[in-house]
Amino acid sequence: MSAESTAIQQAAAEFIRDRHLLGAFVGGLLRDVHAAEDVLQEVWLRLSAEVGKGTRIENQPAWCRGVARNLIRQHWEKQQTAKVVAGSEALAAFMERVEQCFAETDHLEHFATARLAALDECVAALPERSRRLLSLKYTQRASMDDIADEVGQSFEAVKKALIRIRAALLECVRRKLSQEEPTI
Amino acid sequence: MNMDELLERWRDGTATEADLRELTARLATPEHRDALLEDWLVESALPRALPAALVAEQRESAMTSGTKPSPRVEPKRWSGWLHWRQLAAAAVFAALLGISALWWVQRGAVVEIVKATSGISAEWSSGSRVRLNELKLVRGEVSMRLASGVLLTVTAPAEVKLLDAMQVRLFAGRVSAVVPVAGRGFAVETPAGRVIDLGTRFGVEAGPANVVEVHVFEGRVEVTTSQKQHLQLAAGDAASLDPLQGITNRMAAVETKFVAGVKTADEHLDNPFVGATFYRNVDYTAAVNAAANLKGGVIGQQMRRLANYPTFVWLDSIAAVNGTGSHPRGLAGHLDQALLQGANAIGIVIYDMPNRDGSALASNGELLIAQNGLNRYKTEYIHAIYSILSQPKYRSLRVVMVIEPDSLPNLITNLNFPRVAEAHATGTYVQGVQYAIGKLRSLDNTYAYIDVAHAGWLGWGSNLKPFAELLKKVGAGIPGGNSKVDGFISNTANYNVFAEPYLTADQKVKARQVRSLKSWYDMNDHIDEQSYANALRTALITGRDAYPASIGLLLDTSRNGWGGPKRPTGPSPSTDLRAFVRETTLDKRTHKANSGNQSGAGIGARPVANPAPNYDAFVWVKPPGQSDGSSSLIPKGPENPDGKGFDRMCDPTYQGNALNGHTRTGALPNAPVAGHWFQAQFEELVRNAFPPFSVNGGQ
Repeated sequence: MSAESTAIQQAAAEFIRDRHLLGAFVGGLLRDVHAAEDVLQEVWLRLSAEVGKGTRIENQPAWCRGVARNLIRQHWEKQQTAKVVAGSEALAAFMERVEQCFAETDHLEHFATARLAALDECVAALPERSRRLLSLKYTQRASMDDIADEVGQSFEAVKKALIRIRAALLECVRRKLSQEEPTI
Repeated sequence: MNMDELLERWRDGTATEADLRELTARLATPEHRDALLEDWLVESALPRALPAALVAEQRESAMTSGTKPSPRVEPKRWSGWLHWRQLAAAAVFAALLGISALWWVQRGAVVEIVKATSGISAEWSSGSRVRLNELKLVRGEVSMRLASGVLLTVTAPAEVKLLDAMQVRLFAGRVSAVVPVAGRGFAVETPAGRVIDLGTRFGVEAGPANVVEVHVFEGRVEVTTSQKQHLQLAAGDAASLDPLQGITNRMAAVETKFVAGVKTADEHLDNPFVGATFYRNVDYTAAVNAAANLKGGVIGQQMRRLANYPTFVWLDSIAAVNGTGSHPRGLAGHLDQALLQGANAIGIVIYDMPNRDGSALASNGELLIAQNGLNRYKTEYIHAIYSILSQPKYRSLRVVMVIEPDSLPNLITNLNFPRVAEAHATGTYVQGVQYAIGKLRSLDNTYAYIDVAHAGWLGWGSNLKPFAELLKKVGAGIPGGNSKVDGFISNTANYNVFAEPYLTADQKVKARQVRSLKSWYDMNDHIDEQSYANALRTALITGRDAYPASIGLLLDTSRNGWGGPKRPTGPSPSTDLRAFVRETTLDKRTHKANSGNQSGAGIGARPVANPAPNYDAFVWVKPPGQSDGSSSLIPKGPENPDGKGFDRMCDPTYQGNALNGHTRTGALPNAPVAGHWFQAQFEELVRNAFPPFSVNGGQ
């Protein structure tokens, strides 16, 4: 196998390992699941192309976030629908700070995996009804209007319920993290 | 405004510039930084964290109630995937030169690779966890365990997409699945219909022109064709489905067609603890909860947390295997409970050697060499275990076996005890261990770890060297060779620490070596388990009859915590060797050879895989709270139904003997017979746990 393809495999392995945090970075900034997936794909394509050319990338997570940040800006510029104007200083400062926040966790190996494991347990512990609502929103990607129709409640009630469920999930994840030791 | 509200505003697009500035400022503190990261991680991970069964349910209800069909399979996503595949093909596939095409994105399912044909992917070593969305396998075979417990094997050439832990879409090629109770309802979608498992083993093949074959080897599956025909297939049945005409043929199942896939269910792993979910002994959990209720308060809350951790099942008699006499639940009962829990692993202790524990009295066994013991051991004990473990329904469990604590170590130092001398003269301990491993390890899903006592027994070079030679001799005589031994366990049911943090064996106090303290280390070469076990391992993997270097070590950490207020926090300032050592070592026993219900001990490190180099795991073999032996003679009767012996090493009033340097035993008073619940000891073990148990949260 050539040196380039070994390097691509290594880059892919690292990309896969860090995918949760990069996904959260892109998804959190973009707040659009389809656009976020497009960005992730584009980041990987650029990374593999770069590595394929023989470039050595020192800090791959940071490199990926940098590329993602630029792609997100381009996306917003195209859209021009965001409430916060794409070119605003406040937004630029926010993005910069967020990027730094993610960089601070790069050395924390289990940061994402510990939280995702806790999330799985917390989802399992939710009441059936709450899971159903989450499923409609996150798995089936139904619109809020459709969810309201489906469960026979007002738009506002569904919105409030979802915010409440999400808050409960986060609370549960944080509680688990504060007390669980690793085990088999 | 609080952080969560700010994040909520950002997420729903209503954040103002002022909000954004506020948010940016707050992110300077780690607490708020973590809040944002957690919020975003949860948001992006929720789609895959939601259970699949629910989604399937939703879809069903949407269809039956006549409302618009669920948009789960969105055209946009579908075309997005094709687009993605083409791009990725250009960038990655070409570069990887025929290596299978793999891709992961946020969707799909986390799987644990059980076995992958070598060369498929460097990331796919056994036991590794990967998120898998789509898999196009050009050659070879991959077996993976899904979060639902389903063991899925994909055989090349094949193309599949993992929708989540309960649903797979098969485009082409062959898959087979072994489905545990927890995975019932697992579905394979094919071009010609949907196959839903009702508790079983089955295989599905999507062939040319999208004609699909379903073969059932065990249990039942339900098939729904694209034309909405329903069909149930039972074990031995197979059917052929055509995407346009539905069911076109019924025939007998051909397991050999999928046999490669099914066999990997039993594939032997290098480290069975990686990716394992061990059985929580239901009887132990009940004992722990009863103890916690009895105690109550903060200690009660801490006690309850013990129920979260796996302990080993001790098969210390023929009755314990069969579930007869004073044993309401036998081995099969525990294995069934393990399957019900959705566990994929269980720990058991093989412990009924003839003339067992010939140097101790509380734990001595039921079989005697002079009374046809070895034959009975083979036929009534080991064979009984084998016939239970070999049942197909237990094939999905990794069975980790601790082999005969103390037996082989006794041959090194305790030949002056008549029963050990008899075992030595007749070769019984050696033959017994060889037979047990040879027979039980003929199953691929079992793992054998031979007990090697502990540093305070065999750490001296004069013991360690002959012991290594003995172990090599034992290994060479195992049917199938010493590769049937997966590793070695030290400190079983004992109190020795993994490592001493504040002193070393060679360190000098006023020109005297730490190891030279007569009343404690007595010139021992190894003063802790990590050093002892690694030295033994090194001796075992070199020279004649060497074991493979893949052998792994285990440490029983159930009672080696030594926490509580007396735990040292640094080296003692004393310049007197004895004072320095006793104030610095974590181990607070009166003598290293004392091992019955030790006063001051605590629960140690929690069970975990790969804790240190060469270690496969830390485990809890001894369930904390079960007595090592009675502190005074208890005659056979209600308090001692099995007539267990009285060993004065468990008696706090005993003055000791040559084995423990004539010191006090340090045992707790009022102890019940071996294996019975000892509430006072349990309380002390929980109080002195290190790391300590948290009290909040009620977990």
